[in-house]
Amino acid sequence: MDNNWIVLLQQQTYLAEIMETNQKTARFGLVLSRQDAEIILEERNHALQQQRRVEFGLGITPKIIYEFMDSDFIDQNNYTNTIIQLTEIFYLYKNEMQDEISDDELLHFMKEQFETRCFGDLEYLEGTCLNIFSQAVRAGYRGYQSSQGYGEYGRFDEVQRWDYELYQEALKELL
Amino acid sequence: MNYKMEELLPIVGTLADKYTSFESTSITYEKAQELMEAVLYCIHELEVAEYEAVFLSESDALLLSEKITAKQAYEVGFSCVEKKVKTTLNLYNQILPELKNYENICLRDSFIKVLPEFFKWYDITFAPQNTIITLDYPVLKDISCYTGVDRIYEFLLCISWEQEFLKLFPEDYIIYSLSKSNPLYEEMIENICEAVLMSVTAHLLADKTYLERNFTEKDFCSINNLFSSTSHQNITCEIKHKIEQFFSQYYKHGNKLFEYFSGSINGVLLRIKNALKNQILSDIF
Repeated sequence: MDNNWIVLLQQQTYLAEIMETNQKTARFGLVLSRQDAEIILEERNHALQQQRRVEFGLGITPKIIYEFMDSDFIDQNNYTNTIIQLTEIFYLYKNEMQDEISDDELLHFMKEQFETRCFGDLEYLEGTCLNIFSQAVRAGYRGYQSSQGYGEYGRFDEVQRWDYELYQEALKELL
Repeated sequence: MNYKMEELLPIVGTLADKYTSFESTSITYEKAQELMEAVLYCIHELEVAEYEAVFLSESDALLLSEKITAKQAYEVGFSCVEKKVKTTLNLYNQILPELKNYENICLRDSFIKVLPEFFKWYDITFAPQNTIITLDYPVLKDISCYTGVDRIYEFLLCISWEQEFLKLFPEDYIIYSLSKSNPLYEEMIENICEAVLMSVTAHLLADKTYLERNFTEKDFCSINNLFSSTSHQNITCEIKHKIEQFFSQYYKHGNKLFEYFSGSINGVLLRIKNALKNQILSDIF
């Protein structure tokens, strides 16, 4: 059977549902115009096609929006672009992790790193945090199932982070 | 039953939700394709059940008298697959206690080691179209067009007919025929009935009774005379007719058996003809 039906499925849009997210995101100063929502959906379709995935029902976009709406690093200026990029990263790593991780676990992991390690840098999130974590998942790590994706990256982080003692030591040296 | 893709997509969507336990909103193309095939397989199974008038409850049959939705067709088809799996398992259990493999490892392993794995791993919900196992033992019917439980069912039917056919002959006679046909008969990956069918055919050609096992030079001469005096087509027709009579005389499912073996008669006759041409008839009988 050819893949025409998959194309048909990807053409389904849920514009109204995306616009509905404005009701909750408005209190964080984030609002999508109809045009923004259309761009997000178009890019979502493109990402799905590129990653050879199919979505049934509402899809992941509203979930991404609700997960990231209270981020310190998203404002009205970068809102649409960030959602588009997060969607692309999300599908890429669903594949990279061979569908072993649930949507919620992956979103929790992404949000936590976005806020606490990447400080809004999507390239670092994609190229470092998710890359390292996906290697662990492919190798059989399943600890995220009990933690729901929270507090996982510390086990795999290859960079020595600033802690209080290290900060004091560096400060003393500078003084 | 021709349904539009738009009607089938919600069914695939429901299956996808079930497959991911509602934990993922998307799946890969490959998985989606597999789930679509699962839906189509169940609907096809309903068509077959309707055509053959099997596996359908009274309410299902009543439902089918009207135009039904794709979802209903899938659900009734799904229950048909479930019933077919049960029927197939019953058939397997029915054959197993009396199965004789006549020292052939391929038949023994296919039946005793491989087939149980199918029943262990068959997934009616997400991959009913998947046959899972490879059936190495070659039956005499082409079952490559079937998949999933359909292929297993057809394979078991073939085995049941073969066992019924072979049961008529003493075990040592069958092993003797096999060893004559192929000295490595224990390890051969060939159908074991063909050697016996060849022996039966040779008996019919030489006009011998089955009680007389060994062939004499006189018998070979009479076969030779037959082939040189009659056209191959006429011999085929005559032998087919005699084998049909033989099956209906000695077997409970004679018609089914004849239908099953009739495809091999031509090949068997050609082998005899070639053996005759190369003067090695005494080596194979």
